[in-house]
Amino acid sequence: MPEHDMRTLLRDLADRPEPASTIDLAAARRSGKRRLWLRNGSITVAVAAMVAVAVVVPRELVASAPSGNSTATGTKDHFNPFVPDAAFGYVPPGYELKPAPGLSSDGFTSTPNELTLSVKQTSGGGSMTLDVLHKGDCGNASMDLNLIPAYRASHAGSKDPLCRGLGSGVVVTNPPVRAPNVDGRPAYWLNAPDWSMLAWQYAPGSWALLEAFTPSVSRAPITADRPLLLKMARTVKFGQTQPIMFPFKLSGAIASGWTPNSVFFTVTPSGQYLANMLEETSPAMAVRGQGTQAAVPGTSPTPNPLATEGAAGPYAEVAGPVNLLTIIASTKPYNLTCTPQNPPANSLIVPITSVQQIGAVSWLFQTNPKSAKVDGKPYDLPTVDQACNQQPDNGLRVNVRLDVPLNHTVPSLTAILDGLSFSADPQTWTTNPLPG
Amino acid sequence: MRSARDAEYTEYVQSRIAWLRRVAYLLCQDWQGADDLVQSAITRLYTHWGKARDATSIDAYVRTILVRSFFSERRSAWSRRVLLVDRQLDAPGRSADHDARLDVQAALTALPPRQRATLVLRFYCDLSVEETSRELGCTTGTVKSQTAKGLESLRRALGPIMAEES
Repeated sequence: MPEHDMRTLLRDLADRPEPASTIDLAAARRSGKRRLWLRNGSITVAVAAMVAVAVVVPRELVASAPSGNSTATGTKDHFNPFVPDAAFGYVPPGYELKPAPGLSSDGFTSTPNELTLSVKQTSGGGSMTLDVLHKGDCGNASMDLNLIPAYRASHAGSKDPLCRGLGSGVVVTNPPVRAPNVDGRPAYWLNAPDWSMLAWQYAPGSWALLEAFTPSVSRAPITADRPLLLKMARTVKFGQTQPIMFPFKLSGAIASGWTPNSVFFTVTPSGQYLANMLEETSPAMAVRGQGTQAAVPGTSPTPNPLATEGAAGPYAEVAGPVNLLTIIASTKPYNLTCTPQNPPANSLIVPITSVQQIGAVSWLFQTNPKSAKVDGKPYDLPTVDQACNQQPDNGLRVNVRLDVPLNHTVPSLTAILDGLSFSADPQTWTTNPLPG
Repeated sequence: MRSARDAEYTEYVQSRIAWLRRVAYLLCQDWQGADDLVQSAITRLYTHWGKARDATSIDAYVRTILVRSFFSERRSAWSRRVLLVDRQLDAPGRSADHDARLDVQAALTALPPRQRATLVLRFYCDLSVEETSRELGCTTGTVKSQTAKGLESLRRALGPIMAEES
């Protein structure tokens, strides 16, 4: 092919009408700032190690938690992911409960260890995010919280690598500053270069983090947000009891051995919490004689990248020796399920394996192949079985997906679907989507 | 100080976002992937803004970030490729022009990522062999051979179609 033809072809292709951009410049700045801030801290660690500088930790920052009765929140083994353990109290005018940029578009997250909620400006890009960690857990907020000596002290000896994060030995370039107590417990300002975070102990050993972000090029000084953050923190309702409603229910097939991993939910106009995604996990059963690890190399000439994938990939869960069951029930168009609106070009295209009528629902089944060639190399693939309802039922699109590690028994998707009922009618919604 | 930095960065990204999207689209061959790639690249650009601003060409600097992010994503976010989709359903009506574009797109998508990136840099970004080799971190000989192989693959894939059209 002549080179000038190649130029023409590429220009024609690039000049085709573009879909609306999903690029978020404010989120890039925000994330970039966070990285800069953390990187500066990391660099200082390296320098400190080389010159053996003593660790500088202002003594006054090592605050002990006041004695007193702990809340119920802080004493349970885990959060109940079906009942978010906290809720915003005071929300400033012009803000509404909505996922902030940087959070999952599927909504707020409720897991046994962490709850993430946010409010977003109705008009404008400002947002505030609340992270509530269960006692002893570190979660996604650990990189920020680890800068607080009192936080590190409360997680001393933890085996969770997230909790260790930036451990002792850190010379903090942006040291946390003691904030006024919140409900009598210690609180700290964590000052990233351009936005404010308030971290506080809401119960002994239990931490929450409230972060304000205003995506303005020439914004007010960071301290301007502080009174607002304090007011919001002091009115956060811990131990709240409003449950998440599920528009689906399971019975039978997964009666035992499965536990909820994450719930993604939104808030309806009437104020109900409505789940649109549930993830369940169970220990995977290794196929006899095939070993028990997910990362068992199959016939691949090189280690299977899927089996060694880190936490970055969206389906990294299949790397561990667990099965993952994901149920999505939403009125939104399919995203990355059976018939996505914009299928990524590098997807492995799998045809519909079968169409089955189960009860009143017509399901499209898809199963990925056992192996695939990518960049000329063959790889064994973990099993992914999924089904979607062929047409939205009463406006509800449902996707049920099973991710099973390599060389492990694949549960019956048909049996799961057989025990699944769902409805868009709020009268039928349930607070417990599991059997029993 | 920080606000001035942000203002410069924002002004630059806003002025170049369309171009970045198009390059990313040619690399990824889908808009969703392209937007993800640009999002990742402009985040990295923010953290390196001081260097980028002092570089001879900010465009070259951010293009390098984009290309490296592309390769990095291909290595690390491997599982993103294994999504279960079916193009048979809801297939829209196709015009002849649309067909031709899909053919070109399919042929480009079939190329190995490094070959595709070589063609995009050489013939869309108009880089010389030497500049492309610096961008990809390989020898000029590799750029030449990757270019030749890529063009040959496209010729084989599109030859019959182009012959029909002519």
